[in-house]
Amino acid sequence: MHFFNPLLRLSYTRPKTTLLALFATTLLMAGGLKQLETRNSFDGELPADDPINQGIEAAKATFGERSIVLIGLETESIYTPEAAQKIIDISNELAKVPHVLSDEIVSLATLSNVSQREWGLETGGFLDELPADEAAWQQLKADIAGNAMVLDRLVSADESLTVIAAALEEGFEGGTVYDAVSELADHYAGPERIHITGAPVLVEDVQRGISGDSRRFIPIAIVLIFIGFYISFRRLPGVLLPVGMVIMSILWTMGFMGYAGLPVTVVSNALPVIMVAVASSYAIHFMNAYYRLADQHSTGPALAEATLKKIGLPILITGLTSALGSASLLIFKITSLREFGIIGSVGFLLATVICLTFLPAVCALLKPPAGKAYQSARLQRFLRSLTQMAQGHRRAVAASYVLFLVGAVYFIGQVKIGDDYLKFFPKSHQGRIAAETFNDKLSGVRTMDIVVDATPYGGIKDEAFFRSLNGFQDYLMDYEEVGHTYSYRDVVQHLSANLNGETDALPGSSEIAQYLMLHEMSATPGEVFALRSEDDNQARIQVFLKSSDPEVHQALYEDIQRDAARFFPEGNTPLTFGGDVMHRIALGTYIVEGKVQNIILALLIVFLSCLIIFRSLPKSLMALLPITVSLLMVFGLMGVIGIRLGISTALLTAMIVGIGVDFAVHYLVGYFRDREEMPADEAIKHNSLHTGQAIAYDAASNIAGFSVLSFSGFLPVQHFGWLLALSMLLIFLNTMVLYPALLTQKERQLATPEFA
Amino acid sequence: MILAFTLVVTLFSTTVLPDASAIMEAHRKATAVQDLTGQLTYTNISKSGRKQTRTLQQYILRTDKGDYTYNLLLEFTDPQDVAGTATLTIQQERKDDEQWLYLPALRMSKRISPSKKSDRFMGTEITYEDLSGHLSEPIDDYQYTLLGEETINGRPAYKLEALPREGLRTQYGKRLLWIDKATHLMAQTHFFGHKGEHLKTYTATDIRPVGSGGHHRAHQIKMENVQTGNTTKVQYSGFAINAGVDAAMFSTTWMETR
Repeated sequence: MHFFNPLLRLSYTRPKTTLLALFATTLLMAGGLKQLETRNSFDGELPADDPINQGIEAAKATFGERSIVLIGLETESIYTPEAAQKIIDISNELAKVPHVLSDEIVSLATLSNVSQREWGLETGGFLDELPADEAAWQQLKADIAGNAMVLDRLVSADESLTVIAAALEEGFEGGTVYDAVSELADHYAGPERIHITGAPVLVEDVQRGISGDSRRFIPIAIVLIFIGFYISFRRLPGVLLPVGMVIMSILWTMGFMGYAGLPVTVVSNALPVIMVAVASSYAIHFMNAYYRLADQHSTGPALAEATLKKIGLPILITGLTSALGSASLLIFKITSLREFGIIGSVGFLLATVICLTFLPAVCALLKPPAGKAYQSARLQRFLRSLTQMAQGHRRAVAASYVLFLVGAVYFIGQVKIGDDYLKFFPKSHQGRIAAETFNDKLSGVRTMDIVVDATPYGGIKDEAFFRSLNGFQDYLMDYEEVGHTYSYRDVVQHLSANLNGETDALPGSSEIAQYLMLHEMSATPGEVFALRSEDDNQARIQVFLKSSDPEVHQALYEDIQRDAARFFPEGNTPLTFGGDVMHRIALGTYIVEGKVQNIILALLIVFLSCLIIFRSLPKSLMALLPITVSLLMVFGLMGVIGIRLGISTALLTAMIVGIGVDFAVHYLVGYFRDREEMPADEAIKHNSLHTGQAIAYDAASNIAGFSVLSFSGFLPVQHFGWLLALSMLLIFLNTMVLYPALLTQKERQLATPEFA
Repeated sequence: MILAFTLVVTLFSTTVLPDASAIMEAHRKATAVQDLTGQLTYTNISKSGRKQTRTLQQYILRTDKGDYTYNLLLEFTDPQDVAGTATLTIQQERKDDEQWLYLPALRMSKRISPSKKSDRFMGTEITYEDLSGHLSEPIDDYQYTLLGEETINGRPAYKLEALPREGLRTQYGKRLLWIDKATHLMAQTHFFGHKGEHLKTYTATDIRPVGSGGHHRAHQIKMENVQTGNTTKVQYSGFAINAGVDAAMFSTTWMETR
């Protein structure tokens, strides 16, 4: 505190100047809000040198980036004039949607087909003309059933669903596409159900959800804090001052984000609420001490000075430890988590500065409040019972903890890794319903692209390569979760079957070349180049996955890598992977790798900070105890309930350690201060009641604040919110049970009254 | 007096333009041939810049089934692995064309369903309707209006608007034509959809005489699809016009036995 004393002294010696300076700074920081941007995609989340990322980029460079909007038409049977006409109309209207590549719309209305007829080959679109009679409808059904590229991919086997897919140009505006496609869906809905989904739609939903969340959360959180402060202090300044401080902290932090170019993401979306919880907990400790000391001082500046002296150091320590805890997120290689680490650190430091300047400055201008500080009798009774129980039943407490922790460690092993993008949304979300319908009725909406290098074979037209590719695709189809695979092999086989009749024999090199030539003659360049590279040395296999579980994708990816050499013995690195699931696989890997490092680093940072503060190894280890125990319990609970460790929940450790350590620091600082004046047993009881009350208010405000996140439209944010709220409750209980039990045991073991 | 005379001559020469029908009739005559052979290399270029190049030999022979209907044989010569692949089209006056496909790998020809006007020719940005118009502009089906004169690629050209006559089934609601003044060949065309949207732009360059019969041909053409961003470029060489083509070539037997 020595370094900061002259600065902090200004707050109560020159309160008006301090407030003016804070007001000016608030105006300046609020200017950064205008520059605040939202980033809703996961592109750029991975490090550039990551091998999976490099593969994705390589696949993009050869085959282009394809963001696909999917429109599903679901009805009893799509083989009716009304439904067929809608397929045609929607396909035509989609072509006019801004940013849609009009020659890359795939539907029954656009796709060319080759079918064998008695008189020769029928070529043309499935719906070039609406079938005029029953025979024509039966012919259309037969053509679709006989085309493996269409059945289960564009049309469900039960005839109830068909998909219209549109590729978007690079650099498309998600909002424009979303609005236009939603309008189309509304226009054509009824009696058929029109579904819209696909990554661009879901990403836009995330963006809109983020904006909606932010608008909803901040007011709710502030109202909750209002109520919380009123319950805690029962005085108007006790409500208004902390709320003012909270609002300033949010403005400063979000302004910093704007100036620093750090965008709002699905992760940093939670920041305002976290700031409400954290900043209010600093304010609670300050105001608690302020009201407690009020009867000892007659002037505002004297009371403000005394409050700062009593509580300034613990608040500074907790601010620093929270900031350092958040900084531990920098160990992740995932961009939005790293960004959150920076934002959190800066935010917590700013909140500390505001707490230690704004609150004493205003308090210095106020007359000291009359009367005793409010104490909740019920809370006091609860804290007393908890302390007595912990002190009196130390063995039972120890046994219960051992039991709990063994269970927690077991269930931590069951925690599933990685985010399922679809499950960001609640079950009632239209994009999720659509994607799940497509998964159930078609071959799946998640895709893995596998680019196979045919250079060692002399190109994709080589029959040996074709044989290998054929075997490889058959191997992929053996996986239950693979709904469909699509490559130039399927085009060649379809043409071969129609020109030669069904045969088991694979075509030779010249046949392959000529069938591909035929495909070129009927397909658009977009369709052709989605399957083959310009030089015909690379083939792209699109693998449609029915499962949306990232761990299933990861296992499949590992299997394919292991087995690829069996099919493609020529060349060293025949496969490159792309597609939307690859991003998630890489993110999952980094989350696991980063999570372990993050836990170790966060605990280490907090431990070292406590070592500097307490200058004692046992005290520093003690400070880690409640948060470590709570961490194990929370992660164990995630394993029990089945909450995934994903990009949002990965923040938990940093938040639990960074924020949770506050309780430990306040408790230990209070205890050792009391211990200087009274015997150990009395110090434990006194501290548990007095510091314990502030910690209880702190925990309650955190729980209330974090609970707001449960109202989010995104399940990971909801999970993050209530898990964090639960963590705060656990840390509070663990602090209030473990410390009295341990300190009592320690004091009784040691003959000396000194601990440390 | 001299000044007045000059003024009258100038006014006369700038305001009295040929009739639109006369220009289009001259255009049809300029493109009409009894037979034509030549090599063409086309390159399809996707919006993202990916290219695909094929070379083929074309044989065209006017039929006796209508004034301006043709038999068209196209045989791929490059790349080698598709050499010999051929398509045969027999145009019919006011009827669907007949089409056959020959794949050397199958050693037999297959009849294929007639292409629709809007189908893409050989996967290029040129549709069968465009191709038909390229061989012979269907002047009875359109109403032409002369809009003026402009210079296209350094050559003076008549600018005309072509609107389909009522009842005509076409993919285009309007075309703007630029007819080269010197040769009456099509120098440029803008194709518009039925809602007035600009669909494609055709440009012909390197217009040179072919043979000694007074014929000219553009040796390079380009079709840009404004909607999709895809382009097809065609390079012609070895034109021979009215030099005689064996009618027996335009049969499935010829494709299968040559």
